[in-house]
Order: sequence, then structure tokens, then C-alpha cells
Amino acid sequence: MTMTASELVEEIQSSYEGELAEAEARSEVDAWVGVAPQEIQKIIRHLRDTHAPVHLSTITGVDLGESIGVIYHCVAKGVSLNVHTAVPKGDDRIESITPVLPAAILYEREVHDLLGVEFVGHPDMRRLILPEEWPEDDHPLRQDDADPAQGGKESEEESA
Amino acid sequence: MKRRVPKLSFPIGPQHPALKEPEQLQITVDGEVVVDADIRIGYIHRSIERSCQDRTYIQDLYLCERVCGICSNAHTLCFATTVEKLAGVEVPRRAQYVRMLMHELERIHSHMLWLGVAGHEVGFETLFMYVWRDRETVQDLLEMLSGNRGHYAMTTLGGVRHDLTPEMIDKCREGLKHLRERAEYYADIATTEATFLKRASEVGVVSGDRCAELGATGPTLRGSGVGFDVREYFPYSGYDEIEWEVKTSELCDVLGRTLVRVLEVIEACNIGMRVLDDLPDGEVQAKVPRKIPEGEAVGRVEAQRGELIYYIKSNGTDKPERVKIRTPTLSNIPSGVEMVKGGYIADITISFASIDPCFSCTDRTVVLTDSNNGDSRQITWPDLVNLSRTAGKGQ
Amino acid sequence: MLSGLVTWARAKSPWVCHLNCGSCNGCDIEIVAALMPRFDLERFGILLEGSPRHADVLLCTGPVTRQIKDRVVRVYEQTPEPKFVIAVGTCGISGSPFSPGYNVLGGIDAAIPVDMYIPGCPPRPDAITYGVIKLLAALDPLAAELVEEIESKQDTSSLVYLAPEKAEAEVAQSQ
Repeated sequence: MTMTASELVEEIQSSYEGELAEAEARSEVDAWVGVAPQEIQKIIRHLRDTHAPVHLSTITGVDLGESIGVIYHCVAKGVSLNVHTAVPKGDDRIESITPVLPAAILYEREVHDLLGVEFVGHPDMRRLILPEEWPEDDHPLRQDDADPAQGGKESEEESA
Repeated sequence: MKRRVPKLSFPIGPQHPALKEPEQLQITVDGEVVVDADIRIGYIHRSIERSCQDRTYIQDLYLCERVCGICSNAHTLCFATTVEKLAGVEVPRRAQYVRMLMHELERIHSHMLWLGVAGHEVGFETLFMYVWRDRETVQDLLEMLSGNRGHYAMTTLGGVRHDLTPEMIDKCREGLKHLRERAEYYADIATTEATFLKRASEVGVVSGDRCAELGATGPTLRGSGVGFDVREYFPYSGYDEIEWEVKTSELCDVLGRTLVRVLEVIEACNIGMRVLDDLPDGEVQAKVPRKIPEGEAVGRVEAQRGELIYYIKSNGTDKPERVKIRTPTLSNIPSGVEMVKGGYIADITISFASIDPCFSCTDRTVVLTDSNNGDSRQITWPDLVNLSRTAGKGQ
Repeated sequence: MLSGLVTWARAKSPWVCHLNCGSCNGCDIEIVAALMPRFDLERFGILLEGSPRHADVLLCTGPVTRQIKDRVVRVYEQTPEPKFVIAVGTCGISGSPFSPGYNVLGGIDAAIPVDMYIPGCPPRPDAITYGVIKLLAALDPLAAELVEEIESKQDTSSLVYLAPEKAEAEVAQSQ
């Protein structure tokens, strides 16, 4: 069964019991829903329960300056549904959605690796793509660190 | 009766014993059976997402093309369609059809490549040679249309770079006809050739529900009966105007995935012919501004291995603020690991290869840990392939 | 030309080991395509070998990433002399377009000394074949004759590039 983006947005607005910061249909198939970070597991659970099957395409992390945006790109009822939230840089922790959507397992590791966001409750938060000897606190896609093209803060110590 | 595991010893390179081995696939075994599997990736991490931010959109088109040498056109197509969404540019219909043709030709080349490699993994060298010989037909077509055998750079922002001449169209038709005949022959082999069936049937079994739960896409998912294809769900580039079918298989094993790929080659030939028959007239490129207005967009295409998704955030300049790429192999890796579990060591190569991981993934080291005593030993992929050919299934 | 090549190859049978140092697989596919029935390197005795310990030539592709560098160096050290390294593909030569990037160290020569560069993205299987034979011409006068014959029939000046020391040696030899 498929819906248009605006139908799905309306449906979520009427049935979701939490708070939605934003709910918009940007085209016939693109829906964008925004929530506070504490609500993320709740809304994903709601989507999985009401609009199954939900396919998680990927999770994007993006540096927004004062905070890190985390966007969950899903497919539900034939709509490209993007659930977005943002965590402040000083406290970049968010609940993992792996208990609800196991497909998130590698995507959360990637966001952690490249942007430093901590996913609380993730079963296996190891590095995914950066080298083993890469400094722990250096996340190349964060804009505030030393120039990533130089290899991060300890580029001189690292043997080339 | 339990078969004794042969002692495999080979030099690891003791010159620097302190250096860590680049273990990429870590397998825990109990005798011959795989109990657990873990994979580590990152060896070809080329910091592309970060580099995209320092280059203009048109430079990024060529950079993203080189994420993968086998799906290069899928990457440019996805990048271009996402940027066109941001810029609000409509691509001319003729360009859409040419894009569809390139997309399907690339699908043919990739699936045939995979079929040959799969034959090689199970010891079916003849299939490897035959398929790759036939694959040269599609390579010639791609070279004729674009000028290169790989990294065609045919797709550009706003359309395609070259138009098709009537001679090219005739040659394409001939080539597609030949490829369809050969693909039908390979479909026959896959379903009737006893040696292949023995290695592919009931191997690497994962149910459709479990695959979907783990986020799998493409033939990995369709080989387990779930009909999710981006060309049907979010049609792009004219797929809603052409008649075509999603191919699935209910078998849920390596054979199922093989069948889906071979059937998709046949279907790709059909789509190609229909595109050539209905090719509309007109321009092949629309103008896209150098500076893309502020916004964010998500684009998806059905690449050969599965769903390819791009997220691009623009900030009004000629360079993107953020480009996020999730390749289909990443979505299929958890399912690939699941396929290996519960099977025999000799089936590791074909099970994992059935998700069609990047070719370079076959060049890696595997660590086997005995779950009974914690001893571990290393084994290279070519040695596993040899084991897979000599051991057979469960003997 | 072919019969001379066959005689030479039967005597020498150079074995090549392919090493992916971080490549997108484009060049790797063309190397495998060089072994397939259309181009068929194997009829010349050139065998693709899995272990570097049996190889005469290392065919390396891709830019060198941080993770792979130590492994590349180790494989190079495992290969017995005389050995040759061929950097296949544009990113194997310079790291471009991935370089500059935080995880990319440059071309193959950022890790190991390279004897020959084969440009292209990806280079054609014919160029790869020609490159392997030309490099071995440094070892074997018969191969050198063959290379001369091939070069007299077509313009191969842009197909492959020898490393500067090797190129100087060639110039010195021809004078």
C-alpha cells in the first residue's frame, strides 16, 4: 500500500503521540519530519509499528555549526521519509535505534566514526572506516577540528 | 563423519611480527562449521565525502564516479539527479532515455562480471571464461557510446554528454540481441548444471524477512523474495514510461541471487531495446547553474548491487556543503555475514560473494578462530577458494 | 611478431601478482579482463599469481590509503628479486582525484619504488599487457626486440611511462 508524502505526513501528525518539531511534504514523494533527539527512538518505533515495513536506507550526520544534525533516511509506504534531529556539540549523545531497526547497526558506527556522535545502547561501537591508529577524538567531517586534509591534529606524529 | 580440516600453512611475512595483520573477515569456527562472523572494512576509504566539500559540483561528478569502477554510472546518475533536484532543473526526455540505456548496459556488464567471478569461486572456470568473453560485447557498446570501457562520464549535470547516432543505435540493438541470447543460455546453466546447483542450492540461506530487517537491498533482497526495486518505488530517468518487470526469486539462497541477476540481465536487454525503439527527439543536455541554490535533497537509484542513496546539502555556492554516499554493499554486508554463519568454511567464499561485494573485497585475509580452544589461524581468500573447490559441500 | 613473443614468453613466463592498494576496482577489472579470452595474457605464459613470493612483477592499483600502506610495503618485501613494480591507473600514479584527502597518501610510489606507470582511468588491457612486456625488456634482449617491433608498428608513446631512472638508462643504452 502506498501513500503520497503529504498523506503520510498527515497520518504521522495525527497518530504520533510525541512532539514533532517539523512535518513537511517537500514533493510528491519526499517527506521530512523533525524531532528532538530524545524522541528519536520513540518516533522510529511508532513508524515501525504503524507503517511496517520500514526500510532504513542510511543515517547521515552533518555538521550544522553549533550542533550535529542526524538524519534517518527511510522508505515507508512508498514515501522517501527523512526523520531529522540535531544534537548539540557539547553533548552529542543520542539513543541508538538498533533495538527497533537492526539495519542501523553499521550506519550509526559510520556517523560515530566521522562525526563523533555517541549512540547510546549500540551493541558494537567500534571504528568502521577510519584507520586503527587514527586519534580517538578526531572526526574528519566535523568542521571545528584541525584541517582534516592534513590528517587531523596529530598529523606530524603519525608516520606517513 | 567429520572431515579433518587440512592444515593450511603459508608465509605471512615474519619480517615485522609487530605489525597488525589487516584481518578483514574474522570467522569463529567449530570444526568445519562457521559459528560467528565479523567483517572489518575501510581499506579503500579515500575520504571522498570530505573531498567533495572542497571541489565544485562538476568536479564532484568525476570524483563520485570513482567511488566504484563497476557502478560508476550509477554514482554519476544519482549525483546528477540529486543536484538537478536541488537546482530545480528538468532533464530533457531524450537525455533521460540515454541515461536509462547506459544504466542498463552497466547493469549487464556488472552482473556478467559477477557471474564469472561466482563461477571462479566455485571452481567453474569455464563459466568464468565464457561469461567474460561475452561481457566484452557490452564493453564494446559502452566504449562506442562513451569513449571509455570504464568510468564512462556519460552522465553530466543536466543530461548526458553525447548523443546517439543512428549507427550507434543499430550496433546497440545487435549487441543487446546477442547478449540476451547468451544470458538465456546462462540462466539455463544456472538452473540445470548439476555442479553449479550443488554449490549454490541451499547455501547461504537467509529469509526475506531477515534480509529486510538487516537493511539489505538489490538482488540480495530480491533473491529472498522481497520485491524492493528503486526503479519501481521512486522511478527516475524515465523508468515510469517504459514497460519492465522487477525480478525476484523465492529460493533465499545463492542460487536465488544468481537467478535474479541473470534474469535482470535479460530484462536489461529488453529495457535497452525498448529505450532504443521509443527514443524521443530533442536535446540531450539542459543548463544547470554553477551555483546551486541552498537546500537539501535525497536521491536514490537502483545500482547493480542494490539501492544507492545520495544526500546532498547545498549552500548557494558552487561547492556542496555535504555529500553523503551510502553504497549498496554497505547495506548488504550484515546480510552477507548472516549468510556465512551456520555454513561450512568451504562455502564462505561463495556465500559472501553472493551479495556481490566490491571485487577488491576478494583480496583479503580471513582469520579463523576455533571456538573450542580459542586458537586462531590466518587464511587468504585464494586459499579459501581452493578449499571451496576441493572440499565440496559437507564432505 | 606473435611467434617471437610466444618463444620468448615460453622461456621467461613472467608471473604477475596483483595488489589492490585502495583502488575503485576499475583497473583491477581491466587486469582480469587482460586474462580473459579476448585479450588472453595467459597464452604468453604470463600468469596471475596469488602469492607475491612467486611473482616477478607486482601490478599495483589504486591510491595508497593509510590502512593499506604497511601491507603494501610488506608485500613488496616478500617479493623476491628481481622484481618490478607497475603502477596501473591514474590514481596509482599520483593519487588523483582522491588526493588531497585525509586518508590518501598519494600514488603507489608513496609506499614502494615504482618502475613503470601505466596511465588511464582505467587503462585498456592492451596497454597493461604492453607495459608488462616492455618492463621485462629490461631483463631480456629478446623481449626488447619484440618491444621494438611493436613500437615500429604503432605509436605507443602515451601508453606507458618508465620511471625516470629507468628512462635515463634506456636513453643511455640507445646512444
